[in-house]
Amino acid sequence: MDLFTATALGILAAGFFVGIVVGLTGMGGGALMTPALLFLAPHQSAAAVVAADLTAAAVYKTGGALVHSKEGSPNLQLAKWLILGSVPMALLGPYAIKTFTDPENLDQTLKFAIGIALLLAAATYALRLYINLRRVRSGGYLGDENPRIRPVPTFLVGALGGLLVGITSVGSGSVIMVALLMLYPGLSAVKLVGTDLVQAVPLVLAAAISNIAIHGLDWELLIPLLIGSIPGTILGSRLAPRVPQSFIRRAIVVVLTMSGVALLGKAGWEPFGKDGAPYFIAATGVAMIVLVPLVWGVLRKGQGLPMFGAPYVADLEGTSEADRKASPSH
Amino acid sequence: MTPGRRGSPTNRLLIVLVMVVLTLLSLILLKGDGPGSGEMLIAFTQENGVNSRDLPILGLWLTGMVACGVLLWRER
Repeated sequence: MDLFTATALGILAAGFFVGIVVGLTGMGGGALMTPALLFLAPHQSAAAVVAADLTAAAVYKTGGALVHSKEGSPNLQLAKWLILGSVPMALLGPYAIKTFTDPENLDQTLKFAIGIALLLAAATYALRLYINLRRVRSGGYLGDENPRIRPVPTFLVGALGGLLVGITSVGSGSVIMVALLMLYPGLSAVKLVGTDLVQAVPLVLAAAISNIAIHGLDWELLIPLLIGSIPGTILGSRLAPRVPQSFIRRAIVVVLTMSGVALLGKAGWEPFGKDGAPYFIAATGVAMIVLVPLVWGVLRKGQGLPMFGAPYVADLEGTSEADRKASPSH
Repeated sequence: MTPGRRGSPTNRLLIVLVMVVLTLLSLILLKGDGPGSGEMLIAFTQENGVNSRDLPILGLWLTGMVACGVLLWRER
């Protein structure tokens, strides 16, 4: 095992940077780290990257859940049904993809799946903002902190989330969170965060165990990843109160979309040919930066609000300066 | 940008960062050897110039720059 290579140092630096972003915003762990590892260590298989990323996520999600155990107040009934769905599927997902995919195509299939998962994670961010916008327009939260649990839909959300995370390592937070928001619109952000923390730990642990059992664990990926990401996450969480999180979250969405398109290209989906791939990725970035705010303005207009202005994105996310000052964690 | 934070140097810096990123991405697209650049409208040299398929990119870049300019003006 050689830990003093340019690749290992690159992974350590990327782990540190992504750790800071995760600590700052609480989002993007697997979604940012998986593509970063795939681009930084192109000689590694996608399966090895997913296994290492999930193992690192299991370490810092567990740590995060312990550190933040006093924050939020999880709805344990809800978490129970989610876990019942997600853990078995997180265990089965990697086996299913290995069984039903030709070994020669496994890498391509995983990259394609990760690309789709990244686009899905980016889309869920937008969907969550839109749901919050509609909430604000309808007079705020409906206020039902302990809603009647709907076992079957909750179980299915957990199962689909478990499958997604087990196969791609992406979506343990973003995708499940937005599904919960749609199923239980009365839940406050504090309840949502608390419930998400409780359900994410067993989910990521199960996904990591399953991937390690099938593909093994590459210590040359994991060790620099942990050495970089743990101090990065701690530093990020310390900096969080002083940094405009909303801007970073939107930047993450742009990066997720561009990474998703890039990975689809690596998996063979190249609508403009191999030479056109960098242009397609750059065009995606330009469109995200310029067109998405315009589309958002049109959606606001549809809700009877001016295209731009209050309520700002940070207000909808609950990350505005006033929200941060009011939060007990900061 | 959030209300109550108008004029903060961080906000201005972030807007400038968006302008730089948008310009860099647009330059990659305008570089000229992408797929199907279209016919040349304004020639700088025999091989380089503004092509018809550069126009949407220039339009998007300009829209982004104007929007960032407005935000910068509000943050002054």
